[in-house]
Amino acid sequence: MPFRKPDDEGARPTDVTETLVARGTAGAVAVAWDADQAVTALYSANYRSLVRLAAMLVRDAGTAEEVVQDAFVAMHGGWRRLRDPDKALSYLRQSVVNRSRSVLRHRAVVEKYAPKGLPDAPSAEAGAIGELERSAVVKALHKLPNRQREALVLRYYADLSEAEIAHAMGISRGAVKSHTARGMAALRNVLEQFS
Amino acid sequence: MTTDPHEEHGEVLRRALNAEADTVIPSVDGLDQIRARIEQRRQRRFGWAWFTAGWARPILAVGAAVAIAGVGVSAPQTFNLISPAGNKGPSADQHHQPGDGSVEGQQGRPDGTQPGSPPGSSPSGSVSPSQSPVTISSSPSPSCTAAPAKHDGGSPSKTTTAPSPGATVPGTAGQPCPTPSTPTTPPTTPPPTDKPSDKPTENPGDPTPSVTPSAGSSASSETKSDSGTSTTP
Repeated sequence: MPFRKPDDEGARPTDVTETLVARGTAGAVAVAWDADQAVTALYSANYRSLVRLAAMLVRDAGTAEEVVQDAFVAMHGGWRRLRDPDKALSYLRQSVVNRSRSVLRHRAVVEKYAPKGLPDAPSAEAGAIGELERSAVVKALHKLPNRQREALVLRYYADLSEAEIAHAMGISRGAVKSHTARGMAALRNVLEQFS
Repeated sequence: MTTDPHEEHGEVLRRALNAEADTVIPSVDGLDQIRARIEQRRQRRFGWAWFTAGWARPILAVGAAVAIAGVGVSAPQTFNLISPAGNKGPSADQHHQPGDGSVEGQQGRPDGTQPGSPPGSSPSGSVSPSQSPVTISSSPSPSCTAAPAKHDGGSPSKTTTAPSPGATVPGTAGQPCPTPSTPTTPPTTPPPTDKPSDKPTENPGDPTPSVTPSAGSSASSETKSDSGTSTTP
């Protein structure tokens, strides 16, 4: 899994980042240098997973990349305020979630006043069963409210715990449970078809 | 357990989400784009763009206005600080009284108490404000404070009571310093001093009556007679 189990390639850059952050507290001169290096390390370890997470939320790969890049830039700007190295990825994740919300909010306003376009054409592999499952589930997922979708994506794609989801979404753990349960209840009809 | 159906649906959802996520392939130059944005942000924050930003323009305009106002306010004082030093050279040559305002004010005060002495400044009220900043600027001569005794002794302040109290304090501070030099420098003073020499000699070291005749030879006798009348009571 991208976030929780970086067994193959995620372990090394994470350690590097931690050491970089630990060295970043040594001096003011090294802070700027470590910010660049930490961005590089976090990029190599988590950029793809963060982009995919954002893509799950905003349903657009290009916008997801912009969201994640903005999150990296913001993290670089606030690097001196990051004391705990473990907070770097958490900060990025929270920033991605918040920025995805902003994108969706802006998109909702734009789509409200923009003319309706043609529906997306089915892809070439639309006939495959996995694709049916994927498209059906994702379509149903995107019909959910934003908070429920965020909770489900963070829970079942990013494999975060309830505490981590609560921190990323800025809500309580009880609210996370509520959003997750309601989202799963809404998706139950679709999910039962493929279970 | 009750979580079995939930986890079963969760597995389906997880599988679908991973399949959907695998279709998203980030661009290769993401790191370059991030670095470019960071560099842009640095330039926007610390570069020339910071000064040309929209919110900075009113601040710069207000700051420039304050700076210009400060220069404008401090300019007269600066000129007054500079002018005594710059005008003493030419004033020492010929223009002893009308040349520079500072020396004129200092000498003109004892003479100026007599109405005819200030040639440039017709009313005494207009002279006093012009002299007051000059005397303030010429304040570096605090050793001249001993002179007020002479000025009081001269008692011309009785004639011009209104300007003298306000201006005598700064004016008297600057009076005695030029007065020792003034009787020596003007050549015109000796002839009148001969006549009233008796009276000034009664008050030794009082050159102020000797200066007043220098303004006019004909008027000097009148002024001295006035001064003599004023001093005699």
